[in-house]
Amino acid sequence: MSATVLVVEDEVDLLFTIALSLELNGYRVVKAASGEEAVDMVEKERPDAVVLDIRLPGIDGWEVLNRLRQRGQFPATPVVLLSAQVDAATAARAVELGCHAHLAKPFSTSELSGVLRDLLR
Amino acid sequence: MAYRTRVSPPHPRSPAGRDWFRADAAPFGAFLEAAPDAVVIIDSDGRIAFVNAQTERLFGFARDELLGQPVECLLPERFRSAHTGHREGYRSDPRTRPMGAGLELFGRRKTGDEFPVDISLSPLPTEDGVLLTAAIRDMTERKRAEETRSLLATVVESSDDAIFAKTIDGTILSWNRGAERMYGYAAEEAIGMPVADLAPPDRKVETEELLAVIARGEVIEQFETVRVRRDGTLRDVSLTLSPTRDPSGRVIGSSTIARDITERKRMEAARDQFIANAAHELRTPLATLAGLGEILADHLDEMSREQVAQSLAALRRQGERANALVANLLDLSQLDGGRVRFSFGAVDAAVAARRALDAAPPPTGTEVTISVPDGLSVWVDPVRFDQVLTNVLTNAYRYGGPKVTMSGNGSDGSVELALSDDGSGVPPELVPRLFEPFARGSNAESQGGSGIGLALCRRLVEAFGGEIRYESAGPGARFTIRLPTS
Repeated sequence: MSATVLVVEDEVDLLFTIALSLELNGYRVVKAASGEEAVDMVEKERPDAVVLDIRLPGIDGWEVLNRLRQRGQFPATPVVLLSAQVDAATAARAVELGCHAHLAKPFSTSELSGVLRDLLR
Repeated sequence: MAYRTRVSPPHPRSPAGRDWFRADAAPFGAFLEAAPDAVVIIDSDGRIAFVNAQTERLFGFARDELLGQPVECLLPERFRSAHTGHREGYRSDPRTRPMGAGLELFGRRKTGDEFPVDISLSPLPTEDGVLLTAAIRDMTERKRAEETRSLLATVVESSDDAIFAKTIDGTILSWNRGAERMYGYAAEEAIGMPVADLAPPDRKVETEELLAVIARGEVIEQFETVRVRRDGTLRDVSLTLSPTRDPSGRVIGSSTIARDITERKRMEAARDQFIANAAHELRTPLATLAGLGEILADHLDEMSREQVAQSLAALRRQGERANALVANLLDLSQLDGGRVRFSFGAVDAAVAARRALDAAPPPTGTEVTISVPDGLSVWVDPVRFDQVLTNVLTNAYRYGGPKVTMSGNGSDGSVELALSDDGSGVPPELVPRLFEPFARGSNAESQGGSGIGLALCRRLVEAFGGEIRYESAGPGARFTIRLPTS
């Protein structure tokens, strides 16, 4: 059975793009367009990995991470963070919160698939 | 005045007297001859009894041309008659004093040229009566130096930059008006103060280091740092420090020229932020374009027809979005730089509204009602006005509710167009900066706007001499554009 990946991205076309790339690489994909939706989806779908955009309307990516951690699902579930830029502060915070990988936009879809493959091995 | 005791009674005009004062005649004469000032001795009639070599050089007369002449021949003509009176006055109360205290004194050369002089008078009692010695110093160089100094002082005083001098250990010695303005201390307060008092607590060490560099005789140019005003506010400053030296070349202190660069720093930060925002806005469409390009190249054969169609539609949307962003950025930059030429004309607001609706049709599910009465004529650049209307319409489609209404009315030389929708309105925290570039609400990320549409609208409407404002209309949003009539 193929692994399930939750993709959290509020830009509709980018969400479609990431999901399509993962589907074509053999993953089952569930989607969320906001932080709140992401937290619910983790509960409901129990994904094997999460691809999480930091900048989200409502509760942002950091807060999503916090809530997942409070519920004990994280860091057991690997998370790949997506952000506009990977500066030192963002990277340090991601490491501190126990993120497994961090990609800056625009990223290559094959790079994302590669990162997920390593994390789910 | 040892020589006074040795004065014998010569008659100044007698050959014997002249001999007595001759340079080679006595040690006294040799002494006067070697004096750096021009020395002129005058008898009780005001006639020249003796001149030294420096007098000849300074005034350009030969000694023989002067001896026996009234001393006034060494003065500019306009002072001569008054001088005769002064001389009489001096004879009644002879004592050693500078001449014409507080007045500008001038000598006159044989050629007629005038030059500034400083004159010291001393009585010289002889058995024949009291002679008068005048030591005349050429002040040309001194005056020139004073003028230069006073010019420099004026420049320093009138400078917008803070300019001040300090000792080698950092005690402030002088303080111009620019420094008073920049740091908020009056000159009386600042002079005597340690320069470290101008640095915020975390930069006290820095002033020590700067003083150490100066003590080594080095110049520090355009050193950017932070200083604190008397009222405690911080300013960004650029400092240029140069050592000041005594005549032997030893460093005795330094001068500081400080320029307030707070505003420049603020503008640089705003520009950097603008560029970062623009790059960020471009990243999202680029991420989709690059991602879909890669997917189509690698997986086209495995993709369903629907996946391909969806991919192409997304490519087109994000391509257009990147395009619009770049076009808006250029427009905004040209408007800010004043490089946009407007060609104004009368435009019927209702016609323009319908044209904008044609150019920017509403997405599925959104309904637009235009209720602008015919005949409302506004004075605008027609092409740019269309741009404003399509931008506010597109903004309503993206962020507003499904019912969008454009209405209009005219009064008192202006026309107001209002665009309202029944959405959730602009988030309150966004309202104050709604018309700034890249101001986005919490609902905006998913909507695919450029982030500068409303900023552009405001620039354009203001260029038309109008005004655009936002107000909350019940739950929805309402944008009002007021424009001058034609």
